Amino acid sequence: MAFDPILVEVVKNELAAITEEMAIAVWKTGRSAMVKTGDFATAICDGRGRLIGQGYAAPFQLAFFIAVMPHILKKYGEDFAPGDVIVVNDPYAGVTHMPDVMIIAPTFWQGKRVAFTLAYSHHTDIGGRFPGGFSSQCTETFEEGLRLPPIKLYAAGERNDALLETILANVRVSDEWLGDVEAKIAGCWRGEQELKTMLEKYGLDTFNSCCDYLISYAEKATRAAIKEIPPGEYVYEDAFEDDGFGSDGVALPLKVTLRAQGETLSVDFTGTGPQARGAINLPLSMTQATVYGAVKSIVSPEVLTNVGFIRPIQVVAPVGSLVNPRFPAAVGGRAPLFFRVFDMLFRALAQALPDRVPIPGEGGDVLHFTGEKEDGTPFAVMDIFFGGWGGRPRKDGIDGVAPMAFGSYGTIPAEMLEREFPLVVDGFGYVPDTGGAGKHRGSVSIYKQWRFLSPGKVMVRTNRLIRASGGLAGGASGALSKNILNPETENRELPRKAHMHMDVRPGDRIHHIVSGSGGHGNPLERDPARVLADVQDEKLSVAQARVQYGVVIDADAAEVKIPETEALRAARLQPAAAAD
Amino acid sequence: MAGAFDPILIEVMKNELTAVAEEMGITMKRTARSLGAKEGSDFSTALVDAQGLLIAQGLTIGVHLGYIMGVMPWVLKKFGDDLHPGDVIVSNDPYGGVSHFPDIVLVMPIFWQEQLVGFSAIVEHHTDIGGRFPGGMGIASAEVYEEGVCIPGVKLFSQGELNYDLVDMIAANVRAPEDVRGDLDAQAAACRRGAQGVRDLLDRHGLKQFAACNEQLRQYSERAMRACIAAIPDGSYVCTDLFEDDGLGGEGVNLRLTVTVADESVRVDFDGTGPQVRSAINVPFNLTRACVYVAFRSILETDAPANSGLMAPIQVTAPEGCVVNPKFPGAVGARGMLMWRIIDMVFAALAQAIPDKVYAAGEGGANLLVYTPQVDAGVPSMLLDIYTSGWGARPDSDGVEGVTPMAAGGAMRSIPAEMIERECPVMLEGFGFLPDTGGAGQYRGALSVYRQWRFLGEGRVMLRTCRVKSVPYGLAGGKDGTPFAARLRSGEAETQLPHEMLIDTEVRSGETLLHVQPGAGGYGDPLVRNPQLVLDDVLDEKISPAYAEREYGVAIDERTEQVDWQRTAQLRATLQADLGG
Repeated sequence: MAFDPILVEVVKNELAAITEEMAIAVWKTGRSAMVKTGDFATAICDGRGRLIGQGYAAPFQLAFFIAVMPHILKKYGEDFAPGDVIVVNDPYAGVTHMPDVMIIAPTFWQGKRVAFTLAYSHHTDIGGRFPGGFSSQCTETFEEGLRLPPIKLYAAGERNDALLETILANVRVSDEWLGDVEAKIAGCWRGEQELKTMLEKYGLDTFNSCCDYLISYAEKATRAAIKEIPPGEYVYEDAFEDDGFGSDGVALPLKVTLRAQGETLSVDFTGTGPQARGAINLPLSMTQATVYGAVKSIVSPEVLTNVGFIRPIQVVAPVGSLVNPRFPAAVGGRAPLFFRVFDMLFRALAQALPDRVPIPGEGGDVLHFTGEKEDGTPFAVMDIFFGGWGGRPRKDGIDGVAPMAFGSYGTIPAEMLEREFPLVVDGFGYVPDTGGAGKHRGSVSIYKQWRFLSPGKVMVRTNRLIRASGGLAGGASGALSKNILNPETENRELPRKAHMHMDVRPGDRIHHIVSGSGGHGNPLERDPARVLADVQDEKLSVAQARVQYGVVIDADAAEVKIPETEALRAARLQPAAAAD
Repeated sequence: MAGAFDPILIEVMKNELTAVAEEMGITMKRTARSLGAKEGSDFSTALVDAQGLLIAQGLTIGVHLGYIMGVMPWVLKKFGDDLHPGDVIVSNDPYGGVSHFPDIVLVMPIFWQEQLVGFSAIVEHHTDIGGRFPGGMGIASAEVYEEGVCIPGVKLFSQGELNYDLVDMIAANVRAPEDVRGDLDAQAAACRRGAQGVRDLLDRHGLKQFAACNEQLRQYSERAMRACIAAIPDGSYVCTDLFEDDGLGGEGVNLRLTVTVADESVRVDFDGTGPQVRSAINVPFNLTRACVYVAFRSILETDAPANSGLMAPIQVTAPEGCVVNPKFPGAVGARGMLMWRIIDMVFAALAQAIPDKVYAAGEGGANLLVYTPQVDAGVPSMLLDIYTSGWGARPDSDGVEGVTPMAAGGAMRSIPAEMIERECPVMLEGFGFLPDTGGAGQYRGALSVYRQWRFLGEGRVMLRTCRVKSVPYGLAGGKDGTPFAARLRSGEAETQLPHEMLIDTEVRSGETLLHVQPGAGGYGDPLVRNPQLVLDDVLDEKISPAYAEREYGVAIDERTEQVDWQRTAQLRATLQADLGG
């Protein structure tokens, strides 16, 4: 077949459109708040199980689809039939942690297996000791919930009812659980229909040739992007402050070494500490996800999201370490470490490509609340939300959005939460003076205050309680996060544990503050007009404008006092000058 | 023949049915994977009729009597007409008529000439069922969701086809997947053997005779139990007890039962028992009921067959939401702790009415060790070691020593050291009697049995003891038994472990753990024990001469190894005087 660049481009876009249609189907039919808020992803693999197109999804989610397919193919070989639907959540079979449940369906056309459609989402519960299934206080997968190895929920179109009933007997809020699974199945079948239409148009040979081309194209483009990294070794070290149980004085060693060698990039975690007892470990698929997501965001944001992209990237993660634990190590609470490793990769890349790398951004904190409604039926809600982007080499961060690597996660609207669950969102907004100062400012902290209307069990996941998001190129750190119980009465700060469990009574309030992001560049070089704008937006106080930026603003916040500002800044820039 | 009473046929049928149930057990024992099944025999088999009523049991754990009848209503209601040859139903649901998650029941419908004629069933205690605590019997679980995989009564086999994906999923969630897979296969084989056995029996006798004989046998057992109850003086007999603690180190749990005997019927009511707790010691009602059944079965002197007739005159009631009738999702993994206590309490209540029929308290229940060693890679291995102890003294004989609790009974045994050492990284350094333990009495309570392990690899150990804060009671003047102890030795250092029902600790390679189980209670006045029996005990090194003198007032001449009658008479007179009697 002669190479037809227009056809390839059309097919590429058609594949992207199909995965988006899959995503729309999932989004519109999903039951849980998590699906409605976007905590899911859809993808297509070709007949050989190679990821060829990804829909509504964050860059890091690509890795799970890539990681799971070898396990599926190994188990089933050629033993697929039309109407099969596979379900899997096993972190040791390429998925991420057990609340994330993946659905995979083979597509058949003219008697041949031509593709796979995939969708995964984060479910509100997966059974186990802690509602939600993502606490860090577990030590084994057995404790965390129900592990689903690759198994067929439908075999040749027939549902395995005994299997489904057994699964549902082990998860809380089972109706919602099933509803989300059915939404994903609907998404996969939608993808299958669209793929068949596409195959009718082009035929299988053309389709496969386009896939081959797109994969090799992505690989070539990635190689070219990697070549732009100055060859060399870039090391970043950090320490993780939570062992999963909130113990004092924890500092788990983290180390990443990037080796840029022309067209290939090696990301080596040797030097990272051994796996933890608590559920904070990153399963290998998650470590790979972090690397691919970070590298994609910085190095090759334009490149197609298919399996070709990962080929020039080698991930080295020592077995038995925090970033590649051995079964049955618990991994439910891996998110805080995931965010931290992401952060580390950005900072390592910043050494190589200082003009391109922003501070990664903050957020991903979660409230998980379970209990019984007045009629005795159980409820469970997971409210995840984000903070913002860190300062960038040429621009400020963005306040109040999901960090760059998280794609299009949204926040669950207060109206929806309040309608479906016994809680009230008392407030949701910015906290002034908390963004990392810099020539380009990092995002400010976001606060969210929940008021509980029913007794129940709460788990709050909070990142950055102890180590702040540092600045780059002279920028300052963002503020730490915090949880306060009943600010109007007890006003008690809650323990600084990444995963904190507590019981709540009706009327209790938790005021949660998400950390601010670090700033980029020297704050004393920030354009005073921008400082004034921040003050007028109430994101910065007049006092802190002076302290953090050396900008003097009049009390009414109407204008910058330029001579005073210049004098103050000049004094500060002189190392020998007296302290102001 | 139907209608005519043929005692020979009935007897033959009774034995045939029991033989079928026993053959199921033999099949299980010979094909099971786990140590608990193949060595410990921790399973029971049963045959039930088409209405779900028990018609025979074999190789039974005593407290599994009638157990199977808990799940049968659920099976019948759910599957009703949707039962076919080759189906096998599997369940471990405590809120669906079973017990706690490690106990997995398989039930197979039996078809003969295309008619459903009954079911063969087998329950086995599996090595592990996942969840927070290895072994599935951890006490600190707050809800069933933490306790492991719940299998809610679904078809494991559908017309002979195994649901592989269901088994794969269960195996992914347990710590001993090969044991669980292998034992499920063995259980299914046992069910098939039972079904075939019943079909052969029907080929020989036909359905009418089968049904007629079963009815006669049922009536026979009912009459036997009614006669037994009729011999108990009418009245209400109350027993109260305070169970060690709520499983979380908090207050003890109030237990109360009232045995009301009215002519030939008895009602055991648990009103006044405390509410369910937020630990795993709650007892599902199906099991509470089985405890009462086994207590009455053990005072039944006639050798009546184990069928639903035995249970007919016994009514058991317990308020919903109390600790012996919990509501979902109350945790129940450690229901064994209270289960034995309930049995002891029924005996204690009956002791008020029929003191000559009831035993003193045994060690408190089956004690056990769970050891999960660290392994370098792959699937972790596990040891579930349930072992024997001894019975309380009886009105006319000593407590039997070195055996499973009476209510476990049947064929359950300790796992031989050789098997344990072969399959797990542990050495069994000791297993035997501790002299001068157990309660003295005219009849002696069983000695305390100790067990000692040396761990060859580091790992986690959970040691369970049912009676840690109380001692087994004596009856009719017999002395109470002796308490529990546990010690961990590491090199030269030795640590006494606390009096906790479940000790959950890490061990390192080379450390040894000694478990001293409680010694059982005695029956009757020690000062009237036959001195020859005391001599035998001394010669067997079960009691020391000093103990013999102190507790029994029996002096042994160490040179001749004979009772010194004169000194004995003096000692006893003195001891009697000291007692003021």
